[in-house]
Amino acid sequence: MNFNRLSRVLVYSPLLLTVACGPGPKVAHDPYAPSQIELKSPPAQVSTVRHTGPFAAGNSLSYSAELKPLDPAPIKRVQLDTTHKVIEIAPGVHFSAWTFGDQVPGPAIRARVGDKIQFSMTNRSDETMPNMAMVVAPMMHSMDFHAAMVSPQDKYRSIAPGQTIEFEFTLNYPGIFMYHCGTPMILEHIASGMYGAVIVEPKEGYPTHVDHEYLVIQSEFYAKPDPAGKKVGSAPLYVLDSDRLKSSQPTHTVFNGLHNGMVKKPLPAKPGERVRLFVLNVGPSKTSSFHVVGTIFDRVWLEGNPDNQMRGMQTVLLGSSNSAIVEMLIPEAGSYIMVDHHFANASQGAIGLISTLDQPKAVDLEHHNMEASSAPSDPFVAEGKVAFETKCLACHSIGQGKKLGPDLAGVTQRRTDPWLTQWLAEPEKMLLTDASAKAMLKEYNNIPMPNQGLSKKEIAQYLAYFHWIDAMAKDTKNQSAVKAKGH
Amino acid sequence: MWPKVSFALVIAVLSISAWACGHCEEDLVAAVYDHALQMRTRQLKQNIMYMAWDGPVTRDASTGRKLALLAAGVPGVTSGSVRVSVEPAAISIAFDPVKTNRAKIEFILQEKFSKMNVMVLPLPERR
Repeated sequence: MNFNRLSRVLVYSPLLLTVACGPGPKVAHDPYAPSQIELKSPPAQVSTVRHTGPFAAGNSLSYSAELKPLDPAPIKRVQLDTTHKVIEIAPGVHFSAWTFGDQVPGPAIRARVGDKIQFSMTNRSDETMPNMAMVVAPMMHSMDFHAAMVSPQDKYRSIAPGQTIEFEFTLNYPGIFMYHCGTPMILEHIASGMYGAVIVEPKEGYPTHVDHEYLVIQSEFYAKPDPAGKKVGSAPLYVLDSDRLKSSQPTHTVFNGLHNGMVKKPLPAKPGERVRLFVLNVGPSKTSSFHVVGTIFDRVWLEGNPDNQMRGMQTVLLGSSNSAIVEMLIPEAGSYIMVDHHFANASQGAIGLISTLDQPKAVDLEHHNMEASSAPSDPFVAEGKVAFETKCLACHSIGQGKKLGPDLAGVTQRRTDPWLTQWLAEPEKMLLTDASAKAMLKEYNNIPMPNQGLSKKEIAQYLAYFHWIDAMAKDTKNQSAVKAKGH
Repeated sequence: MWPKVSFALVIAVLSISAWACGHCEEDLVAAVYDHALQMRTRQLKQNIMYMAWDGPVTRDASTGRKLALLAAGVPGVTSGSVRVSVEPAAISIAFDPVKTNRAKIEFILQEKFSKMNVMVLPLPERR
């Protein structure tokens, strides 16, 4: 190497290194790095000092779909006591529930990253409530916060009736997190109503502005009439159906604890407004294909964390305890239908409306939104449903229009029970003697109703099923529902 | 020798605090907790003893019934007070402390349950 060449190398090499390496690698700021989050939490305290008075307390709590704004206090005191209570999950279905804060779902907690939750819970399942003394024995309960990073053995331990547990934790990640009872059998405790949501906003808030914020919690109920025949007033009491629970066959799939709940009370919005939904699928055993008919999710933050952003989505798939924030524009006047696009779930009640109308039009929902395809809770009616679907669906529909025979939606309003009973038992004789039967034969291309050889009990089950369908349809109509177009 | 080794293993496993939910001490208690029994024994000044159980047996209702039957035959155990859970595996009994104590009950239960290859592990006394 001659001198000139050496001097060029010496002169240029630092420059080359600088160009190659730049000013040095940047270390990206990780808000979730261990140094950035708070993991310290004092041990939980269990005592026999009971809460009295309200079953839930705290400025950060919201008790319905409409969410309160964030409470700016950095320390949130939250009291959620456990109770046993009868709740109405669908018209006439009074269900023996176990609750946090005396409601299902439990109150939602709203906070932000960095906030501390000081939690306190008394197991008040031993307190006598109206209608409850005869329903279910007091039992142990616990609280499992998915929003927390703590030792489950310390914080999530089960406490006996009369005991109070207190613990605290810091919120490290933004999101919508489930809380639930973790006492065995966990499945039974969740299916009985012991769940709710913790909404954790990013420290700097959400990156978008919205006009409305609502919470939608999807969950399943597995109900059967009490085998002992207990009643709530004059209505039958429904209790947990363990067999259905273990085989994941819900009787009701609902938003915010109520069959078609937000059809009765739509979530308000105006044309041109932007809506943010906090959606949590509690399960305990079904996924949700959450969809809003008539709009597109502009932004979806999976698990409610803006770091997990997707754009322009039609449906969000949520497993049990998964969540998402979905934001959408309300394009024009109308009622936008929130559904689980797994329509077996929607037909069990997982449906609600976001509506620009003060009073949505009182017209029928289409039948996919009714109970027609869901399973009735009453075993007698359920047998009628199975028999109908086995023997009759080839020629009849319920709410889907004429096939070889009439659409049977509303049949109990068009015909009397004695007429239907005779028709199902002896259609061939009716066709000879009954004028309306003859007219029906003519209307349906002279294809006669075959005699299925049904027993009296089977006919009674058919009628019970038809009445059940029409009762549900009537209820839906009364709920001032809006027609769901195109689905 | 072998049963002692098994029992040591049971203790070792139970002492791991990081068991999945449903298997920590309070959850085992919760699985067999009977509030009415709790109230009744308190009135009678009796005690309830909670235990975990384990062994190479089929976890079904039949096993639960057999264990309950064996436990009910332990001297000093209050009639009708045995509660057995198969999953999680827990058992509780009420007893009159004037007539017997936890150590005696444990000893007899170990003996009776050993015929089924099942061991018990008393959970700490609850107040």
